[in-house]
Amino acid sequence: MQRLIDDAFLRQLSRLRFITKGRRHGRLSGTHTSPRAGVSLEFADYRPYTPGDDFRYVDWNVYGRLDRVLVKRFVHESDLPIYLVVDFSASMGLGSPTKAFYAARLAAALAYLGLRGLDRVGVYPFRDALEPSSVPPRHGMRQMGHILRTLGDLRPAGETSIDRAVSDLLARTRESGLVVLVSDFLSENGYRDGIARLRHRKDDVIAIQILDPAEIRPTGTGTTELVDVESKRQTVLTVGRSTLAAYVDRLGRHQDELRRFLLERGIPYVLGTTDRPVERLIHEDLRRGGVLR
Amino acid sequence: MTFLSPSALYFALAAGIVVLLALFRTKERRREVSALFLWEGLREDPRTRAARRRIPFDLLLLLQIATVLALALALARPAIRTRASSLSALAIVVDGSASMSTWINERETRYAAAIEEASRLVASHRGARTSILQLSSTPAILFAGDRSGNPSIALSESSPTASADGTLDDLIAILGSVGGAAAFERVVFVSDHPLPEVPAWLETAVIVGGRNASIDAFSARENPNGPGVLVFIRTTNHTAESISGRVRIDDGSSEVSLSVFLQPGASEAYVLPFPTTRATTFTATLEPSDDFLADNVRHFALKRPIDLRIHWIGTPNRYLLAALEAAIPVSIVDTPDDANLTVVYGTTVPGNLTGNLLLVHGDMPGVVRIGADVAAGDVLALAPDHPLLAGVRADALRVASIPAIETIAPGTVVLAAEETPLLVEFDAPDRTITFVAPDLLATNLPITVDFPILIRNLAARLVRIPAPLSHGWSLVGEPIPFESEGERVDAIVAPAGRSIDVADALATFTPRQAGIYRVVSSRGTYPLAVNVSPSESATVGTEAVPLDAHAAASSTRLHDVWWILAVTAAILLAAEACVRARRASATGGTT
Repeated sequence: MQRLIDDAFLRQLSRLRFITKGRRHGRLSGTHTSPRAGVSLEFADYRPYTPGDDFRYVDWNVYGRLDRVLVKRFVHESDLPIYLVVDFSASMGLGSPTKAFYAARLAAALAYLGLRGLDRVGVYPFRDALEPSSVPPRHGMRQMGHILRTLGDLRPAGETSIDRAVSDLLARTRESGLVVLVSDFLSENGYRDGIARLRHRKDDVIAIQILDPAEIRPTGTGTTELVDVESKRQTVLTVGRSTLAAYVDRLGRHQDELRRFLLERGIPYVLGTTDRPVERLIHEDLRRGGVLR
Repeated sequence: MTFLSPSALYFALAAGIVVLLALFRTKERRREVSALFLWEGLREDPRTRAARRRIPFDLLLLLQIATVLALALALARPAIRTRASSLSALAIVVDGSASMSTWINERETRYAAAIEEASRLVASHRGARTSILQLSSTPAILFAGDRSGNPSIALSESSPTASADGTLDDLIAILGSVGGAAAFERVVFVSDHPLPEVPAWLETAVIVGGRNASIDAFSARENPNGPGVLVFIRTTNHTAESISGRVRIDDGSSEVSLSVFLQPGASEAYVLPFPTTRATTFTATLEPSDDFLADNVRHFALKRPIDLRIHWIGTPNRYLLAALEAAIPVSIVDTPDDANLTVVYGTTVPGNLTGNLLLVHGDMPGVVRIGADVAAGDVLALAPDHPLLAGVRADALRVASIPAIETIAPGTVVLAAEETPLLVEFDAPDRTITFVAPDLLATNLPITVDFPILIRNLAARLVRIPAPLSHGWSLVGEPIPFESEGERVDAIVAPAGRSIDVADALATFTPRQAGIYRVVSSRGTYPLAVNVSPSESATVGTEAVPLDAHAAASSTRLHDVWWILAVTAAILLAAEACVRARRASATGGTT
C-alpha cells in the first residue's frame, strides 16, 4: 500500500500551524491563547495586588508613577485538543486515488501539524457511527504512530451517518476543541444536527469535503445501471448530456446548501478533489480558508 | 480486383459479432455512485434513449469493425490485375479425373482433346515460364515451369487417372506448390465441366462429348431367406435417348443377368437374387458399352475371409481335408487362436474352445453327447431348403452306422438317419457349430459326387460374416482406412495380380485403379472392391467453352496485395488500443 506521508511531505509542513478563533480552554500549556491568565510572554492586564500574589509580577514602574500596587497579568497559552473525524464509509472508496486514501493522507498531515504545535490530537474514523479503532487525543510524536496505523488499516465500507458519528464523539469526549470533519458529505442521512451540536459545545469546526473529479463532472452516456455503493440500491437510467447537466446542477445545489449551512455557523469549508495534490490543498486551500497559518 | 481465397471473406461476418457485443455492452453498462439520491428522478435524455435503438456512433466500435474488415480482406488475399507487356508465366491445369477418359469421337478422348488445347496454348506463349498441372482428387504436377524442359512433351506423356474430380481447394493447393496463382499471369483450367465456384483469376475451357449410361450403385448381401446372395443395382441413363441393354452379374464361376430399359435421364434400381453363388466377389457389367467405360463395370466384395485356417483336433481324415481344400484355400494352424475354423474329429471338444467349429463323430459338453454306434436307417432331408444342402441330393447318401444321440442342444437338424440326427447346425450366438454325427468312413459320403458340394456349402457357412445391409464403395483416389485394432496388413494384391508393398504400420491405402484387390492381413485374406467415383458419370450435358474466348484477357498480371491490408489492420488495432487506453484513464474507476 502507498504510504500516507513521507519525510519530504513532512518537511513541507514544518512552518504551518492551526488557527483557532478566540481563546481556548486547555489543560496543559500549549501554543493557543487561553481565556485564563497565566504565565507567558504575552501581557494581558493589571489587577490590584492582593496578599499572596507573587512579588515578581508587581509592576514597580506603575507603583512609582501612580503610587498604586498593581500586579501584571499574562495570557495563559494552553494546548488544543484536535479531533480529526474522518469518513471511511463505502462511498469514500470511489475515485482514483480513492477519496478515503486522500482523506487519510490529509488527516495524517493535519495530525502532524497538531502534534508539532504541542496539541493533543486524536483520530475518530467513522462510518454510520464512530469506529472502535478511534485514537483519543494525546500529546507527543509517539501519538503519530498510533494515528498512522489507524488510518492505514481502515478500508472504506458501510453507510455514512455524520449525525450519529458526531453524537458518539460528543459522548466520548468532554472537552471542546478543534473538530476537523473530513467527508464527502454525500450522505442522505444529513449532517446538520451533528454539526449544530458541535457548535453548541463551543467546538471549532472545520469541514473539509473530499470529492472525486468524476463525481463533479461525470462523463459517459448511454443506458446505465447506477448502483449506490453504500445502500446497494439500483436504478437504470438512460444518461445523456442533458441528464449529466441535470446531475451537475443537482450536485451544485447540494454543495450550495452545505456551504450556506456552514457559513451561517462560521465554519470554514474547504473542498478537496482527489486530483489535487494534498500538499497544495494544505498550503493553499486550507491557508486561504483560514484553517492554517 | 479479385480475391485468391474468396471464402475467407466470410470472416467479415465477425464484424457483426463486434457490433452485437457493442450493443450488449451499451445495454449492460454499470456505474457505482456515492450518492444515488443525486441521480434518482433525473429526466432521461430522449436523444440518448432514441440512440439506444440504433448502433451508437463510437470511434472505438468503428475502429474494431474496420480492423475485422481489413483482416477479412487480407485473408481473402486480394489481387489486382495489371497489364503486362508480354506473358512471362503461364499455368495450365488439365482435368485428370476419370470422366476425362470419355471418348468424344472415334479417335480421341476428352483428355486427348484437352491436351491438344493445352499444347496450342503452350505454343502460343512460347518463351513464357509454363507449369502444367493435373487436377483430380489425386492432383499431380506434370511440368514445374522449368525453362530448360519441354512442357509439350510432359503433356503428351500424361494420361488421365481413375480418380474423382478435384476441388477448387485442391487447385489452389497444387498451384501453391508452384508459386501460387499470383505468380502466373494466366491460369487456365481445361476440363469437361467448370468448377462449381470459379474465381476471377481462373480461365476455364470446357471440352464436351460422349454418350454415357452408368451403374451408379451395386452391392450384394447374403440372402436371409435362402441360398446365395441378393444383388442390389441402380443404373442411370445420362443421354438424351432411351437405352435398351442388359446387366450381367458375374461371381467368377457363374452369372445372372437382367434386361434393362432406361428412359433419357432416368435412374432404375433393381434387386436380383443370385441363388447359385457362393462367391465373395462380384462384378456387374452394363451392356452395351458406351463412351465412358469405367462406370459400365462395377465391383463388389462381401467382407469375409477367402481362405480357411483350420486347427485340427482328433483323428486325421484325408477325405474331409481334401474336400475342404477343394472348396477354399486351406492352411493348417497349430493353435485355435490363429484359426477361423476348428475341426474336432472323433473326440470331445475342449471346454475352452471358442470360434467356429465342425464336430464330426464327437462330443461337445453342454451341446451334444453321443453313445455307441448302432445300425443306421435311410437318410432323410429334414430341411431340404437349408443352404447346406444347396446342390446336394440327400437320397444318394448311405450311412452304415451312426452313434446314438444321448443329449442334444437346440439347433436345425438338416439330415437324419431314420430318427437319429445326422447333420445338425446348432443355434449359437457369434459362432457357427456344425455337427456331423457318423464317422465319415461309416458312410458313402467321401465317394459321392455331392460330398465336395456339401463340404463347400459347409465351409461357406462356417466362415461367413454377416454382411451389412448397405455398403459404401471404396473409390479410386480416396484413402481406405484399415481396422486399427490388432489388424496388421501384410500385403495388398492389385486386380492385375501385382503385389503392392505396404509400410510396416499401414493405416490407409489409396487405390489407383478400379477392380477387386486382395488384402492379406493378420485377420486373414479378404477382398476389397474399388470403383471409379459415380460422380464422374454425370459430366455430360455441359456446354463447351473454347479457350479462345479468354484470349483477350491474356496480357495481364495478378499482384497479391494482402500485406497492405494486414498492415492497415495492425495500424487500426494500435489506434483502437490508444483510444481504449485514453478512455480508461479519462473515466478512472467510476465506470
